Amino acid sequence: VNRRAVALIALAAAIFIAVPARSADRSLEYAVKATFLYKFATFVDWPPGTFEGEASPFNLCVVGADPYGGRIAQAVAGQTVGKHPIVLRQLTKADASSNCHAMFVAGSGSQDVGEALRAVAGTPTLTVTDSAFSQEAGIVHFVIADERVSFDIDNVAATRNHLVISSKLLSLARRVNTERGTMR
Amino acid sequence: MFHPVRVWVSAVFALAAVPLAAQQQVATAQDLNKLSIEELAQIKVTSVSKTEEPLNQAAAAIYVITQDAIRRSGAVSLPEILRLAPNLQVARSDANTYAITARGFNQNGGTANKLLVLIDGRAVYSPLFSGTFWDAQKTLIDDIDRIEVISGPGGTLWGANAVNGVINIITKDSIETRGWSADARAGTLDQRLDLRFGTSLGSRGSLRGYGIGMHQGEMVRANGDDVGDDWNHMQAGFRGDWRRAADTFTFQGDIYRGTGIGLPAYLTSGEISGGNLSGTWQRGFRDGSSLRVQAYADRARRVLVSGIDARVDQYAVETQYEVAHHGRHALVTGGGLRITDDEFQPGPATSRLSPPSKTLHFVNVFAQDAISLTERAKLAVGLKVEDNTYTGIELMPDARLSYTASKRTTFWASVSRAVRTPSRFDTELVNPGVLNGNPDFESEDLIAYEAGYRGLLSPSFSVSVSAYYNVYDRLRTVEASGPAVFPLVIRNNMEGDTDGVEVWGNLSVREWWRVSAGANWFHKDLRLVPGTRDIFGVSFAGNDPSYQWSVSSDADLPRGLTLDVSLREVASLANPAVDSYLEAGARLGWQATKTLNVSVEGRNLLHAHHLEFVNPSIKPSEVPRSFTLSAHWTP
Repeated sequence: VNRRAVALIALAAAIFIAVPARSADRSLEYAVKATFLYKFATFVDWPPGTFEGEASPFNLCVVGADPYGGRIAQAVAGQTVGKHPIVLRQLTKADASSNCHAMFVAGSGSQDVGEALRAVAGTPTLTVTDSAFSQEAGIVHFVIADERVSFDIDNVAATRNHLVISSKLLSLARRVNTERGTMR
Repeated sequence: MFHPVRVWVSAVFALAAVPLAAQQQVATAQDLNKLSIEELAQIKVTSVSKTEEPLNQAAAAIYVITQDAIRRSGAVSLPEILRLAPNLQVARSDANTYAITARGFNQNGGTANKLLVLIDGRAVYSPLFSGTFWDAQKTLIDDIDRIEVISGPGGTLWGANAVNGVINIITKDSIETRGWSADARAGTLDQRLDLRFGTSLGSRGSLRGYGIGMHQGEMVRANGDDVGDDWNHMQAGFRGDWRRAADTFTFQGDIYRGTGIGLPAYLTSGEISGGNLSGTWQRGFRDGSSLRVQAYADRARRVLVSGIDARVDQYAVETQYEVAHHGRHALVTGGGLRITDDEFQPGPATSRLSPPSKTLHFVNVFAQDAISLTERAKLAVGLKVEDNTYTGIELMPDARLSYTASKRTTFWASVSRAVRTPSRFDTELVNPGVLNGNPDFESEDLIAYEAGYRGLLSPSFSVSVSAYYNVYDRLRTVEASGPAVFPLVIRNNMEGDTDGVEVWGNLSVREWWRVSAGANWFHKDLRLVPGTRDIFGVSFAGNDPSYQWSVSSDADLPRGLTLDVSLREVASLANPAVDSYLEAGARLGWQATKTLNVSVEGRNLLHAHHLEFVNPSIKPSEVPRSFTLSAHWTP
């Protein structure tokens, strides 16, 4: 049988709730979002020269505290993007020299989401935001649709940041913003 | 000899002796890493909440009514929505009066007193008689995220009065309700208009406001005459949510007024009004722990044609702290304080409360530890200690064991104690020469034994089965004070047991067609303690059907059409007698444009009118067949 199907079932079984929680349990939602975060990179091309070498680090930055309760660190531990090992960097404030290949922005006390996005606009940074924490959207913006984690993609902002997003990732998005308007 | 307390104690010790395995649970992150990006996008992430996911293994009989199910049911009020839960008994006795319970003891007009109802964490039961006034509980239908219905005791987490069940109504975060929503229903029986507008507030917040206008049409007599019990309700409210890093702040409030002109004979006719304000702070910590603090104030007033003017104010603060997994333990702990202040002015010919005004307090602390015994077995043990004005300290312990036999199957079992603490009516009701409340009335007591199974028999077929054996003690009786009979006095001289089974399942026949079914069977064996002078007998404790079942089919048809049909049967009631009935509903919906959905619906189609429940104080009223045309617009 398909190993992935088995993994899917095992995953659902791992979300084991022994007592009815009083508030919504979002642990699975957060774990899925944290995993998406580094998997996006496989479907994005950075401009030539962005990486020093074939195996140089891929910098994944998180601006502010991880709102997913540490699940980003768990998700990326030991993972790579191609041959680039992922290095997780926690920033309180992002700027154009932060050298983040991908940046997740939930807002910190010293910099809100919009400020962080503007700080790296025009640099080759894949910005990711979450509608659960901000209405300001980065290139990829998580949403919940039909009880599943989905995302909107702003391809205009991607082009501005010199990134090329593969058609496969675009096809998975709920909405894609292009120069010709919003698709789907 | 069989002794419930002894059995309970030995069961707890037996469970504690289960050997602990060394292996930890598989980390979620590792499983997710193996999935492709398409597979990640297919995972349903709404966990316990949307428990229709049969793989979520709550160790309790929990049924979740989703927004989608609410929408497709066409239900126009909260009690009608609750008919979707196969583990509840819902009966309408009047235009705005429902008798709702789980696992029996249903009584009319809010006197079903063994069910706890919360709306966004706010307890809406009345300390006057430990019941819920369903006519005062409304929310914008589109703003409901989900309703969790737990049959069985929930005393350890939810506190006193969660004896036979808990209904947890949860509304959407305001970030999910930005923009307009208009929902209009014009029916032969009920009419309702829901309007909402939501907006972002800066990059951190969101806010919505809503209004509801509603008219519930009158019931009919057995001969078809109108009863004259129709009811109008107006309500407005808001909810705002702000986020800052790991913190979320929620503020919400509602204000309402309902009027029923009705006949003077109608106990329920009169005017109700009230409002509430609530603030919640939630913080998620880096290690996965979370803290929740909620404070609320609530006022409910009802002025009845009998002259009764009753006001209840409630103030509460509650905290809950969930500790992230520490080794094999997951701890939830918390506490709360609730104060109620009431004033009861009697009518010229009604009973009164002595004293007419009183302040009650409820203070509680609780802790629950969920222990992973093995990779598959989990034991949750908990205790709530609650202090109340009448009976002092009450203990509500709970032990739940669950075992994941295979990846698709979970078995669970539990033993727990719950109490219904005395209400003002139990203790302080006075009608000179006729009836005296009993200041020494004790808490009604339940020890519940439950077991259940949840399984995914195939990827498209899920089933849940739960069985229970409930042992009650010190149930309320109304007794003669002596040979002269009057005045009557309220005591605790009934005991007995109930048992039953609840079953429900879902089958996705095709991608576009789902069939669901639910049923419950209920049996009770109540008796009076020897020597009691009770005058009403055990039937006074509740009027319950021995079984009920429902089947529904939801089909998504081409061209944006949906067709849903349902059938339900409820067994007869003994005293007052009500015949069993079979009823059907159907709804045809059409997604006319991206923003507009229109539907036509028929309810209770099989009879011109049928009787569901009788309030002994008034003439029986029956529920008529009805048709409704609805439009839901979300630009």
